Amino acid sequence: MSVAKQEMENLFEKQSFISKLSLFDYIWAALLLLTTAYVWQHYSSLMDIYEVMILGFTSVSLIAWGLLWKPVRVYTISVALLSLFAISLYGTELALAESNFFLKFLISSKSAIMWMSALYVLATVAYFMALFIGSEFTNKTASAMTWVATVMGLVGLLVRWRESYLIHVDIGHFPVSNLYEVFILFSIITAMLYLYYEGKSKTYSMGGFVLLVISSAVAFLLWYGFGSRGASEIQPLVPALQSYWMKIHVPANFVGYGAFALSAMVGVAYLIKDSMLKRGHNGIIIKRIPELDVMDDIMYKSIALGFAFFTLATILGAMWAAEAWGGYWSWDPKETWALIVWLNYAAWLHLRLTKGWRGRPLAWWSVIGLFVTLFAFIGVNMFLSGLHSYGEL
Amino acid sequence: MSHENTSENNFSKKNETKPSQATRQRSNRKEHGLGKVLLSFLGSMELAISLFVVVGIASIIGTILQQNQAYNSYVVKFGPFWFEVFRSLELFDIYSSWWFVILLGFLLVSTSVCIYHYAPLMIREWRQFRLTISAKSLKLMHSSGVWSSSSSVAQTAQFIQEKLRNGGYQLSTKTEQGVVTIATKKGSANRLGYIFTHGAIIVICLSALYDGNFNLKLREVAGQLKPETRDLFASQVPDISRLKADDNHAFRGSANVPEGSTTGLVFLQMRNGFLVQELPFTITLNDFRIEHYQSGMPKSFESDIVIQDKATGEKITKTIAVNHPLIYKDFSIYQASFDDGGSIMDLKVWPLGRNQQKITPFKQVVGDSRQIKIATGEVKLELAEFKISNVQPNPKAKETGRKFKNMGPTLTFRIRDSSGQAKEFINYISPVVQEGRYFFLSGVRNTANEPFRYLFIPVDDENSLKRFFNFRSLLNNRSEMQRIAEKTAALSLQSTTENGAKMVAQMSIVMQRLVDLFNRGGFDLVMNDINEKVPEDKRKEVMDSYFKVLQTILGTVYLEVLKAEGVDINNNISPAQEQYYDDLVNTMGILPNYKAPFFLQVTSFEHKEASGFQITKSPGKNLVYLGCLLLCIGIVLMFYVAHKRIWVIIEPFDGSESGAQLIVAGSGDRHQREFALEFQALSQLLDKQFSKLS
Ligand code: HEM
Repeated sequence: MSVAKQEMENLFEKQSFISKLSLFDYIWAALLLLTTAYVWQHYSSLMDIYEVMILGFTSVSLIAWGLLWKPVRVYTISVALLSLFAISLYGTELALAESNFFLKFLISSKSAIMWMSALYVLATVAYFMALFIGSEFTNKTASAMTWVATVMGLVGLLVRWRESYLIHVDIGHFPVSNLYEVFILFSIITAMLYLYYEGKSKTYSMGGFVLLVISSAVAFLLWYGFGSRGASEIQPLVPALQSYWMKIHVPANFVGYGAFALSAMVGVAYLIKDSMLKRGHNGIIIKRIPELDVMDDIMYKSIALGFAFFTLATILGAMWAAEAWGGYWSWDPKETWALIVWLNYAAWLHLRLTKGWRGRPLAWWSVIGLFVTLFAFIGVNMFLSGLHSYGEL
Repeated sequence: MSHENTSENNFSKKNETKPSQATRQRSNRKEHGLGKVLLSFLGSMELAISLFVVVGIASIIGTILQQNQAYNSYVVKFGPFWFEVFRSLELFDIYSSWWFVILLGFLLVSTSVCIYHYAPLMIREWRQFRLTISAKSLKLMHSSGVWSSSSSVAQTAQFIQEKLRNGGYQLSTKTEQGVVTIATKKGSANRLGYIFTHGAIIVICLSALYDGNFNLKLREVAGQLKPETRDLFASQVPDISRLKADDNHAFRGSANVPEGSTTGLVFLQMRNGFLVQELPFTITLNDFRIEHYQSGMPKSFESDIVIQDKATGEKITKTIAVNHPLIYKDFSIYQASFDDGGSIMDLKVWPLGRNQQKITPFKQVVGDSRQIKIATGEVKLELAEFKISNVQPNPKAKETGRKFKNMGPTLTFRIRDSSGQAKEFINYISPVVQEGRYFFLSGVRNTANEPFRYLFIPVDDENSLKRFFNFRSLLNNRSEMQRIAEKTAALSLQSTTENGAKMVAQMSIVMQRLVDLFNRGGFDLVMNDINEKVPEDKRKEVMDSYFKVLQTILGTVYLEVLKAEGVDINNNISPAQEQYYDDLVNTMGILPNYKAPFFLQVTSFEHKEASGFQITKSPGKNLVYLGCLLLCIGIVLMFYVAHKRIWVIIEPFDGSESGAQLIVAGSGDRHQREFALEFQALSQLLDKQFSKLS
């Protein structure tokens, strides 16, 4: 709260935005611009106009994101350094994944994902432990582990991107094309969103709850990716997926899914605290969970964010469909479920905003909303057939 | 009383009063009687939420029940009764059913009425400052405070105006009887967000409806159109199922065009039938290309097409591919799929039954069927599918370093008997290697859900099926078999006595009978025969001797066949020929399970591909995109532009010249929590300058 106050005090004093920027902010922006220029200089001949636009857009939004939420800068730089290190270790020799020490144990895609998985699970345990014993140190450790896991997850994805090209240029693709890959994406986005709220509110006690959903995703990932299905193998893309649209549609969707998952898990924390309070328990552990109002607010904020991104993603999906299948809306099961998810959260938002609903009913609703979302995200691939039937179980 | 501490608790309560505020404000409009009741029903949140839920549930049904399948597959699945019920509820084509469209219509109306109610309020809040606010109501706001200033009203006002401007607020000031009222707002574009999002819904729904096939449904009801449900060629479809080029403003249809062909029509699917839509241009497919990954999965496919305008004759040549459509006037032409375009098979029929006439080789196009005479009547041969390659995981991936292997082209066909029963076959056109030897491979199954069971016919020295069928026809030839059996019996017994001659005759009969059993029913029939006739304790013994006899006679037959081929059998036959014999006998032994009247060989083929196009005309598309843009902008405005308002009333202090009292209050609408912080900051600033009264 004190930090926020500090910022607020200046709010009514005349000053320009520029003067508020620190040296690191400038370095950050310059670094990104230089990198973008370098990439553009070297690779623009390999990109189509849309990919150049995506590059520019990504660069600008990363700069903005880093200025709005400072930890992003260290995060991005760590991810970039580790990924580049892995890529340079690889050279053009994919087989090094088995022999090079760093690749084998740390930063080949597979190892990085393993690290991510392990750290998320450990962090979940640590967060709960901290909640029960009330240790600030354990909390900080859990938070650090979550950060590192999130770094490793993104490194894993980026290195996988490179690995797919090392297998064969024809097979190379942006790694968001099957359930294994998007589950990694889901985990790191959900973790990022959580870390954002954690950093802002300086309360760690929701960590265990949120990481529970990430740990479940990790469990699925391990079963699905490394179990008998072997979905962690890099597969070539079917023609319909070979499009720049995939690079924007899928990540946008997963910001939506991640935000909805976050709101649901905060909803769980809310419901637990609320029923404990109702039954007259107000022990130290319950006290450590944030105020109901705070959680209610986080639920709203993350659903709002999710709704915005989900809307965007659905629109992008429609535009892609119009280009690949010949119609912006075909009532394909995946599209239809996107609509259902969307209507669900539209109802949620309306009840809150126009009917003034708060608290328990909406918390329940967001928990149930997670199941609707999950169905749209995995159930459709598992049980229904349609145009989106890649990445089946 | 300190507002700072209470902000959290007040937060939720305060918001709960919002709906009633809204209701009060929207009922400013003058509406009367029934119209009023109807409008307030249609514009009610309850209706809107109910519609969200109902549309959601209806959509779920449509995803669980596969839409637009062939009707008879539904009958099979649900039985005739439920089929009829579901059909009359239009559950097989929910998304263009009457009731679903009406539901969407309600959503549209509800949103429109909602806009009608709220838009004036939103515009007011966006544009105007509320200057008519009383000190009393300011003090009731949960972020408020009163300060006293030692400077004059005007100076105080100037100070606070500057600070508020710094804070990003727009101001409007009114001075009345020495009292200064400052109304400010920030982020009022938030209010526009409401109009954008809800307007966007209307734009999107209306344009999508315009692009849909609702007009065709209306014309169907009016009796002007009737979807064709029979399996007809486009040229045979009657006029009532046809649409002229200028007769339909929007459609989405498909066309399969074989290489080298031209079409000027597309098929529009409607439930279990279709309509033929004429195009104002023709599409010619010059070439179709497909590339595969190593795994056999398609990597890319593309078509070289020529579009020719029917009216002007103008031509456009272009290559289209997945994700790279051709936009031509109002039309978009997409690469959607690929198919066989009528490949031509050169077929040779090798009869498997007895007493069957020879059939001269013929050509048949994939997709066609023809009657074939067999010994017991006629069957229908339907060529179902031709595949130019069949890539499968390589079982020897480790040794060879190749993950996949290509098994070559296949032909899938059905043989349908006179009662309509069909068996499905898949034949690998070129011989397939198995344990170092080559075989003609043919799979058979009774229903599409079963796996194929495979028959392996060994290839002979000429890589052909000749020897195999020569062997079979020799077995079928009674007189020859008698001759061979007698010769073999005599040779194997080598006896000259009278008794011996009898034994030879007996042996020859046993041989002929065994060969006949084997020929008709394979190993199974021979075993059955033993099981029936021989007591259990002797079976093993009898079986051994039977199979020895069978081997002897079959071996002799094989040598005869080789001899007829011109092989010098007096010298040793080659190991390959020996191996062939083992494979031959094994195949013959299970051949009866193949249960086909003939073996179909594809001697050569001409591959023709067809490209599947999706052709659409959707004049509403750009409007839909416009709506989407509005929706995005609207959502960002609503969620991320915080609408905040601060009011200040400055009054001269008890009539004194130099002092003033300020009442400062504000609200942050949706962003109460942030606003409370912002107000705290303002309060601290004011505390430094003025002295706080309450
Ligand atoms: C498919 C249809 C609709 C969609 C997608 C939709 C979407 C939205 C969204 C995203 C918000 C913003 C929520 C927020 O600021 O957090 C909103 C607010 C609102 N909607 Fe809807 N809406 C729809 C239909 C309706 C209908 C039919 C009504 C009228 C009954 C309605 C009344 C409202 C009202 C009164 C608000 C609050 C506006 C405010 O005070 O800022 N909406 N809607």
